[in-house]
Amino acid sequence: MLITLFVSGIVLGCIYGIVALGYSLIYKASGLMSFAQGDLMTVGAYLGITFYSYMKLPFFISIILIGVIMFFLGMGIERGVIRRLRRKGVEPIYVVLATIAISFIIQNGCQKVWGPVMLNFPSIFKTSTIQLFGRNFQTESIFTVIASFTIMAILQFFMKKTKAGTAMRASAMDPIAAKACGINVNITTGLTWGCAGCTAALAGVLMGPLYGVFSTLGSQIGTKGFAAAVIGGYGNFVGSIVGGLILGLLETLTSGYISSNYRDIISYTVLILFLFIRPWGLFNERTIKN
Amino acid sequence: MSAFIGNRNRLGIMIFIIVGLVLPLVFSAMPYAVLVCCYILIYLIAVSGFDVLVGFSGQISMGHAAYYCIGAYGSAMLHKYTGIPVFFTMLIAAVTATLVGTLIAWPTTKLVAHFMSLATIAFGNIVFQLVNTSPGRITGDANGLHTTYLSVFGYELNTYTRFYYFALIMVLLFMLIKYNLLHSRVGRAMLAIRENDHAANGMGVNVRFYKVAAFAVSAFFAAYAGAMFAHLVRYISPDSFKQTVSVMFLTMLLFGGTASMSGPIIGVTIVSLLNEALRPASSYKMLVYGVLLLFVILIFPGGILGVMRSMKEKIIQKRK
Amino acid sequence: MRKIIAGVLAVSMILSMTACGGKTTNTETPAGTSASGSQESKIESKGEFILGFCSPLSGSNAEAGMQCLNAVKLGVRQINERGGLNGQQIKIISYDDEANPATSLAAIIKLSTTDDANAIVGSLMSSCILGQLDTINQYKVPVFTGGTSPSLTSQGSKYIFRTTMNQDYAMNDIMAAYEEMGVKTAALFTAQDEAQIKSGEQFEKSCEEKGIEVLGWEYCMDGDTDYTAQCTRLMNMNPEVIFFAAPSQPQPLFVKQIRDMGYKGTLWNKESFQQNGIQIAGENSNYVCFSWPCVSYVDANDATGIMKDFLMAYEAEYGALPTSDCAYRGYDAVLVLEEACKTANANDCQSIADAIVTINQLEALGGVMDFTSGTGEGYQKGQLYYVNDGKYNDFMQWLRDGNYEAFKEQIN
Repeated sequence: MLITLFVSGIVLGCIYGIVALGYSLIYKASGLMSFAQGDLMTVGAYLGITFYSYMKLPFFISIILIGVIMFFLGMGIERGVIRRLRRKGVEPIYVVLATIAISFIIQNGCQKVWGPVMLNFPSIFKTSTIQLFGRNFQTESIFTVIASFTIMAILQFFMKKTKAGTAMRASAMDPIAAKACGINVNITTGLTWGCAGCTAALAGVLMGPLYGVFSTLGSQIGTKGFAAAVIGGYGNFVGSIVGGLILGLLETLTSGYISSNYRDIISYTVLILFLFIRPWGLFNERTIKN
Repeated sequence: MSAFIGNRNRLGIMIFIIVGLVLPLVFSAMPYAVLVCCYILIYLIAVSGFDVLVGFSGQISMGHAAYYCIGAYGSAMLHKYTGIPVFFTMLIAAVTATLVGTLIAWPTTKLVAHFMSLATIAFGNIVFQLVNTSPGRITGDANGLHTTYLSVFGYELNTYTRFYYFALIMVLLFMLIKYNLLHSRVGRAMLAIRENDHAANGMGVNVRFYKVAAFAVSAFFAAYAGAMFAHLVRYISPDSFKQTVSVMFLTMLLFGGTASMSGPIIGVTIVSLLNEALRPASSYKMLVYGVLLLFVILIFPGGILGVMRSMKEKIIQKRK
Repeated sequence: MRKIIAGVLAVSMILSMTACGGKTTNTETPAGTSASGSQESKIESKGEFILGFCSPLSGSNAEAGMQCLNAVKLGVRQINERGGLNGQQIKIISYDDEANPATSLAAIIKLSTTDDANAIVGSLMSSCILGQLDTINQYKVPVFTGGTSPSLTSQGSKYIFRTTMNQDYAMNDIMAAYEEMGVKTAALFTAQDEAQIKSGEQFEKSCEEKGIEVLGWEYCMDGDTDYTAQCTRLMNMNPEVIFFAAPSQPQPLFVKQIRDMGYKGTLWNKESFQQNGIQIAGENSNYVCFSWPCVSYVDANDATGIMKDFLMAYEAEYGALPTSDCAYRGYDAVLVLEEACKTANANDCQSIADAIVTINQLEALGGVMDFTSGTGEGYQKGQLYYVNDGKYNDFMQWLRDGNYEAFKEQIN
């Protein structure tokens, strides 16, 4: 029993981790928090069904299309909403609220466009289940683990080792100084949100076959993703995955050995404890004071 | 009190009271309309308290429905298990919520804005979960709780009109509390903190104390409103206290305008009317909420009140 | 200045309310006493029959609510084409109650008073109806409900009529099956809302009465999609059968996960396991069993009689077959309404409520409806099915052909 719970915890943790990566990316590169990531995942899943299942496009083309659309969606949100607010110089909390509003719009919009029925996302891989430790796992869940570590590695490399990544980090920490150095803050911020949109899309496409597709698919996971990000250190990529894994394992093991009723209470309590006692997370990520 | 209130404000208060008294008579043939007015008064108390937190001390709470919930369940459960009259259970529940609020506020006020919103969301979720799966099923879990009417000095408030007048008196009382609070040293301290808490600290203001006090006050208002809600509809279940309620409070506050007495009045009234107007268009309601909130944030960050203030300034400037 | 604005707003509020509110002759009365008897004037004072509708049209239960509304609209259109009810055309006024009991209460009050409804197709959520019991009894407007919880009719209201099956009746059928199967051990998995928990309690109780050992009860929360822990524990218990009660979204997820975990025994659903769910769970849905008056279809031609007519009309009108059982519940409500108005030869609330209790042979989508028991229940028994290869098969036949022994061998 321990092994099954452990593996499930890892899979769940990686899902939280991918979402947290999106949050950390946005924070690292623009110093902001976005509540719309979870719902962007939902859009990714719905787009996945539309291209892959309804229009019967081959998977690679679907994924590229989804990636492009979500990239521009992310950028669009940044440019249309976030940038305008920052230019107005409103308090950062209003930006957070704006993303909440966007989250509402997306949720309800999805329901209107694709209908309220839970949709079936057919398996992406030819072998739909893999046998591990005596039980069947959906191939997508194993793939999620691989994908999350890969994305984490890519982002970590990009942010620390490339010029573009360093430019992004600079514009987040001090936009004025960054501009003085010749960095185009607007473009880097837009690119970041676009990439976060892609990350969300990928997460959505992986979750669709696992859980079915419905309009509230992303919102619960989105909130837990925050917990993952905070535990690991908000803005730290390795931290996001580690935080996700910790949260996933904590949830699964608690449900398994104590009770599934108190699972959410425990997750949120851990989040609050970290916020109160160690807001810089496990990997010592200092918060950016605006 | 009269020493603080200027003549123009006095007129406004008069109008408010008269309209308030007259409304149920106008709607005597429509009990549904009176019910909606009761909801408006309840939300008004909750949002006015919320304004003290957000508008005056500059903090954020995205799980404020938690206090609303504690007030409602606290009063209903206390009455059910101990038989204490509703009038007192409502107060006890509100005080309990205030204590809880103070406890949570102490570490929360340290946090940066976006972490504060995360912490308050988490708190809201925890309260919801506790109510949804309570140990020993004391809250009735998903089945909810039935409760009874409120009786004031033996007079049972068993019609919407009777409850309405009680609610009206409570609204005036709470507005009075808020007004006095804000025009006192406490209020000035909060405004100073909102503008620049470092400077306030430097001037000798105990920032932490006032921030926590703001939380406590807003928790008290929200909880009492929740208790009123419980004894108006007489059946509560966890579904009535989800995250969407917190967002609704926020929308009402931002839409009307923060840091004022009449901002919440405007916000609550308009959003409630919108709720009613959208009843037939049913499934688009959440969409409209989101668009409205976005609209307010993008275009009118000060809410309606903010728009009016800037219009007034423009008029004054034109005259010059 | 601002206070004046507030005052002006309040005045405009009065005006707008008066404008969009309707005229009604009901004066406000203390809750709990009877409303003034101006019901008969409803036929003369307005030319149409108002049918209210209140159910979740947004959120996670939107699918059920919207399809129910679609079915009601279809039924109403058909009746109107036939001449309406006693000559009156039906008009539907619908509200989204968001599955929130407070919102639902407000909607019911509005329908009963301002909107002057003659009858209401009420909430599919048992918890919403529970919050409205006092109000329904006060205004005496007949309310049809698609909720399955037994607590809706156990309070003895004379105005609540169920157009689906009481989930306890399904339990009787299931227990009869267990007796023939010789089941010794069971476990359950339920969600956390009123109807599902009640269902679980009834299952536990019935098992105790039959001498079946209940090994454990696992729960899932609203919005949960991962049931690994619960499934792992259920597997450890190794029950002969597993009963599950959950809203439509978790059902196929649970079936998929418990089968992935390696469970090969029969799975028992508290209500019909829809085609939608079968699609999502795929092969895992084999040997999911249930007892229910209606099932769902992927092809209208698979149905017969009145169900087939309904499905073809629904598909023609909306472009697809309904996926939720709640569509049938809405349509049945309209059928009962038509029959009641015909019998009563009147359209007012009390006459309709009185007439419904006399209905005993109404052919509806789930079989024959009989309300003469006076409890508000229309369906008394369902039909036992098991799923195999995406089709619904007769369970009792399968059992009597001696297949269960072979089945048990195979899983051990």
